[in-house]
Amino acid sequence: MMSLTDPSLAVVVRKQIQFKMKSCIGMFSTLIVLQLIALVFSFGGTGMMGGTRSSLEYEMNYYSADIILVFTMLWAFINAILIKTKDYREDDFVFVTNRVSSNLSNIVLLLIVSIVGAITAMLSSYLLRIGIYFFSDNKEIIYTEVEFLELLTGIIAAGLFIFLFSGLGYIIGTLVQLNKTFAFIIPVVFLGFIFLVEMSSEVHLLLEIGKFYFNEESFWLLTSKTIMTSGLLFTAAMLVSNRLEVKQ
Amino acid sequence: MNIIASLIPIIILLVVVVSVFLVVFKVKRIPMKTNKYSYVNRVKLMFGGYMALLIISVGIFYMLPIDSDAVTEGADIVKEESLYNRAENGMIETVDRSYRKQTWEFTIEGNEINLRAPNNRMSIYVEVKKEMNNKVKTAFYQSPVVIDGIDLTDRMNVPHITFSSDNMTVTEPKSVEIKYTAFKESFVTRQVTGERWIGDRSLGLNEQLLYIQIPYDIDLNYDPGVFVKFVGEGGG
Repeated sequence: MMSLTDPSLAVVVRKQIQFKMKSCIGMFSTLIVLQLIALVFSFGGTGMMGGTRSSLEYEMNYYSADIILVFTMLWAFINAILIKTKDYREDDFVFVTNRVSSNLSNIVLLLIVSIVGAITAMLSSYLLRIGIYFFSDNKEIIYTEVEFLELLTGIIAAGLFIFLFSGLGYIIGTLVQLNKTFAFIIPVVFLGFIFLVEMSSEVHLLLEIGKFYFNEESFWLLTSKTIMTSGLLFTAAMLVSNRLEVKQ
Repeated sequence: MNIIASLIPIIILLVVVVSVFLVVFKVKRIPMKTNKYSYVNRVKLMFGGYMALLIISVGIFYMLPIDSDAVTEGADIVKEESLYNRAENGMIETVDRSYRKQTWEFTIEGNEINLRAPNNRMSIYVEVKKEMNNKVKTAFYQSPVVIDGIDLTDRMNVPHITFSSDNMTVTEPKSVEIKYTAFKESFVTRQVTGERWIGDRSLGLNEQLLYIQIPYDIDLNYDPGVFVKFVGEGGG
């Protein structure tokens, strides 16, 4: 029996997103758990400086949301892999769909969780500060006031990084979906390549890749780099998934 | 050994990733029930509560009596030339007046001064001058102490100096212990806003010296372990 309606791609994608937001709602509970765990780790401080100069002994302990942010990036990476596993893929067959709409809905879902993750990670730094204020013995506390626009810029940049990590997880998940042996091949090839490059040229590849993104001071250049990289990763994933059988 | 050392960060990262994986895998797939206490609604409630907590914490933080003005924006290394250089060149009078923290003046009775400075690590510069009218003038100079943008100069102590029967005893400033807790923005915010991190903000020079002016015809006796440098016309 043929279908009488021919829904547009946008409508199909929107319906899938609404469905997946409910079916994958467990992501948000794990986000809370992981950020609270990271918050506890953050109480140990993220940096320290001290020394002695003339008749002065000083010690500065620094606290920030760095650990929470890193955990959130990891969370996005892992969830992006998970939505390509069998359990989550079954959701695509609730609707009449194709690979394009399925991938697009996954990408938009990952974008939404990246934004949510960025907002909660950055705001959790205030929860950390309150905790330090009330539970720390040292009451000599200082901070640099940041303007709302700077905070907003930071949230956007954090969201871009989290989305980038989710893109990385998505391509890995797609490759593993294509062939399960990729689950072993990818880490081995990745680590092997890093060691080879380091041994032959003494270049720390991971460090250089990290510098490319994390040393970028211009907000617009950073946006371009992360969006382009994420775009490449998601496009590659979509091209790979086109090679898959219907229910693979 | 190099390879093993470079493996360690990767191992730590793997442990963290596996731990995060285990937490994420623990979460069950939802059974798609829609009653009031369904998993979906419970998670929505939990997440809503978490967001409310975070937003409230922002408001509470800005009501706390925490000093944001202590950070001196743009407080870099003091551009002044080193105090020691100025003292050695006999130009101590040209330094910023605020660097001179305390002065003393004593009257000498005899024709020698016995300088005692037990356990002293502070530099002492001596200028021999004519027309001092049997007076010994002493001044303590302290250059700014700025650590990670915080000006701590006013927290520094001054030396204790006594003078009796031509014996001058110098006790160096009592050591100051300072412990600060600093809240920093995340590395991502610092990256795009240019806020600097540990050690990026320069330290103030934190130079301390004692500058003593004595009459021309007075002998200064001091122990070999005391750092005394003669400057000006009497310098050697």
